[in-house]
Amino acid sequence: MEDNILVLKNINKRFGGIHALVNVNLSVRKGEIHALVGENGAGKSTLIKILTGAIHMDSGEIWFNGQKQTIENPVQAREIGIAAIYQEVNLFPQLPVMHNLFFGNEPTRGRLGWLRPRSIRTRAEELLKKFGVEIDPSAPVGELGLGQKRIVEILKAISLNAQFLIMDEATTGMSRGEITTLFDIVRDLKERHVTVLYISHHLEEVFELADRVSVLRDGKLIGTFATEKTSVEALSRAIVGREIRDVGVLKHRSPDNVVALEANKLRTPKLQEPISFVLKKGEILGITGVIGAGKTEIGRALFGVDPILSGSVKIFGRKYTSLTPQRAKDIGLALVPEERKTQGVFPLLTVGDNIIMVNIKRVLFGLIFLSKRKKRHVSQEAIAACRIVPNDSAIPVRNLSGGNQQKVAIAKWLIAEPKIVVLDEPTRGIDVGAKVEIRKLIVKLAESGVAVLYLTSEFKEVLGICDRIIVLKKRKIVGMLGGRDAELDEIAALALG
Amino acid sequence: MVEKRFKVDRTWLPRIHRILSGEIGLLIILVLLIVGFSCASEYFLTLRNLLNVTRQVSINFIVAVGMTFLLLLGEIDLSVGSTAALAGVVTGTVLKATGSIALAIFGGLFAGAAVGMVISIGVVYGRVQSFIVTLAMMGIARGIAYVWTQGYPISGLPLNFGVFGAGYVGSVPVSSIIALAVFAAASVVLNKTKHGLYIRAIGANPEAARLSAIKIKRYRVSGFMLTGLLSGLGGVLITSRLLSAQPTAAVGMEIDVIASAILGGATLTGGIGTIHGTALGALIIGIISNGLNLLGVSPFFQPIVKGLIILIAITMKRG
Repeated sequence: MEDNILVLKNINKRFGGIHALVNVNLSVRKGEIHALVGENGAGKSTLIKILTGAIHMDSGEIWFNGQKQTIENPVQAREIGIAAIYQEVNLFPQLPVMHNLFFGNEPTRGRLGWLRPRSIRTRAEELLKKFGVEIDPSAPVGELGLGQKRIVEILKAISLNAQFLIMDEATTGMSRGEITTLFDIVRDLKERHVTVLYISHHLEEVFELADRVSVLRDGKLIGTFATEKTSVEALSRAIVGREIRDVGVLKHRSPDNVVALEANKLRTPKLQEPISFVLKKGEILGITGVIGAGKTEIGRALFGVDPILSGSVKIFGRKYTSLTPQRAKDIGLALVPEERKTQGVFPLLTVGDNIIMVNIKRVLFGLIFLSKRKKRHVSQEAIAACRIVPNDSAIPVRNLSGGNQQKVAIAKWLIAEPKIVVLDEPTRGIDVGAKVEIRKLIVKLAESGVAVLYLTSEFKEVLGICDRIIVLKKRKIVGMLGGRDAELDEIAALALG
Repeated sequence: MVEKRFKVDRTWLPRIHRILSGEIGLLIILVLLIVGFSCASEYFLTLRNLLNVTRQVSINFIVAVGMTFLLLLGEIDLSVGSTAALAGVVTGTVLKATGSIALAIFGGLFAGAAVGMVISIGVVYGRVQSFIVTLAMMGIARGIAYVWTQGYPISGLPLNFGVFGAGYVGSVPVSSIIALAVFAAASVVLNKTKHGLYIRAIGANPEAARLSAIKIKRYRVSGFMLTGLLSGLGGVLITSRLLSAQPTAAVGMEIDVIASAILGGATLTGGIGTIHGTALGALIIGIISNGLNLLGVSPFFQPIVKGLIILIAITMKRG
């Protein structure tokens, strides 16, 4: 036990009906680089939030440096030596590097706290030199590249005497060269007896960097392995598990041979590599990949949210090289976006008002007036079709559970009777019951001839429901599988490997 | 079961309850103010004085209706006072030149809507925050009014033009009737039309609105134009009441207007606010002014009292 800096015992955390962490036991050795991997929703973020004091666990014990700790808030986490850097950069872009490095911890003089600029500069230079980093300490952070910003964040944590550094998807958006430099610094930290908990979707990074790796799945710790003694394949399998097709509702369907949508060498500002694929009428096409792999961007391109730079989309035989959401809607597209509360529904408005939002024509009398009778009729129809609970159209959407909010986000588009539906993470963060219902609804849609594009970063979600599966990695299509015979490890190997 | 629910919903009692539940705090404050002033001044609780209050409140309320639309959209307009002054000056000029009251009123309303349109171009198409654009417009519109009149009021307007601002139907002030009409129209638009629903949707959640294929820009433009138009109406009514168009009119109007809407429940972050809430807010502010006047409180002292009561009211609403 002596050489463990962090020991977690039987950590449990619930969010409403979702058991996010189930009796998690995890030990991290002093001075190691310990990777933590798992699918979205596996519980990684919850675990980090508990360690950094952002949320509290329901039960369990945290032992840090041989002492039992209750981490009440982020300040306390920092005081005992736990620091974290996240996917988003948390620095002040307009301030110079040196002020960012010592923010909240500036060398000052006297009671009034006069800054000592020369001392700040000297200390910044020392710190940068110690790690062999060539960054101008007086340059504003906003002018640095992403890789350099990350390094500044790490050094900032070091200047606060962090002994335990959590890096959450810290290489997102970085080039290979920047990643190499960052990894050198992380290894340097190890030499200086700083422990690193490294969270990543990219297994090759894990094998390059980490000493040991722990796998979380469905809130449970599956195991901790030495990276030398495991493989990408074995790890992928541990990540996705085997108990799949749990909500398999795919009936024997045969999609028509009519092409509904064809993306032809599509490029947008966020999709630098051209993307091409075909979606048929009555088909459910799954597109999966880890977060940031590009599935959301494909949906946004098709719906005209992101501008098309080159290439085209052919919809029912007509070719489009520029789209807006209005135009996309008019030609029969629907997008159920990934962020439910900010993009999918209007939480302050009632269920009824949300449902009529997209196809408001159906409830108008005259040119502008909302007919109460039609509105009630339409929303009751949608509430019944999507099994929204409670079946009351007059309550605000924010009072609904996550799963029912998601059903509203879908219902509102079904009213518009679309021919092509793009669903982005339709089952994220909702309980199993709602998940099954939403999947049934999607199958019913396809059976009625609607073409469905099912975007998800949870690999097992595409199984049992999709006719074909496209796997993305780093915004490129890396595989195309038949939906019926696809295996989870196959998808995982393509997406993670 | 579904049937039952609808029947319950249709009865009037729960509906009244739902409408008032957000404003109970405001109603309590209103009642407290009325009781307090009634005790302090015997003249306060007379029909004559109460109707007088509605007249005093009417212009502030009319402009606050526009502000409520803007706050719902997550925008603000600081230039309402200046716009009202400019519209008043336009009204006065047209009236002097043509002698036509209809043309003069149209000119004033048109000027207001035009100012609103210029603002909306800056905000919606120029992508500058409405606080900044309207802060600039506050100076520009007022400046145009000054330059136009060389700083002198346009007086000697025909007496029959005074009916809108100072006239009565029976014992009810005409401007109160106009305010009531604006109240009714705005309530219908906000609650019963597509336009109103979209405005409530956009302010709370612009991203979701865009992804719902709503043409956001036209609704944002309409909010600024409506506020400009109603500021113009305010300017026409002020001019009518004074029978004189003054470039110095309505200085500081934006403070009472924004305070009315915020008191009525609107927020600066968008998506929240109602017309009847704003009406209550405007009434509270009007009653404070009226009561303090009756009590003979020095006009220098009044803004302090008003400010304190607004602070207390909003804190109470939070609690």
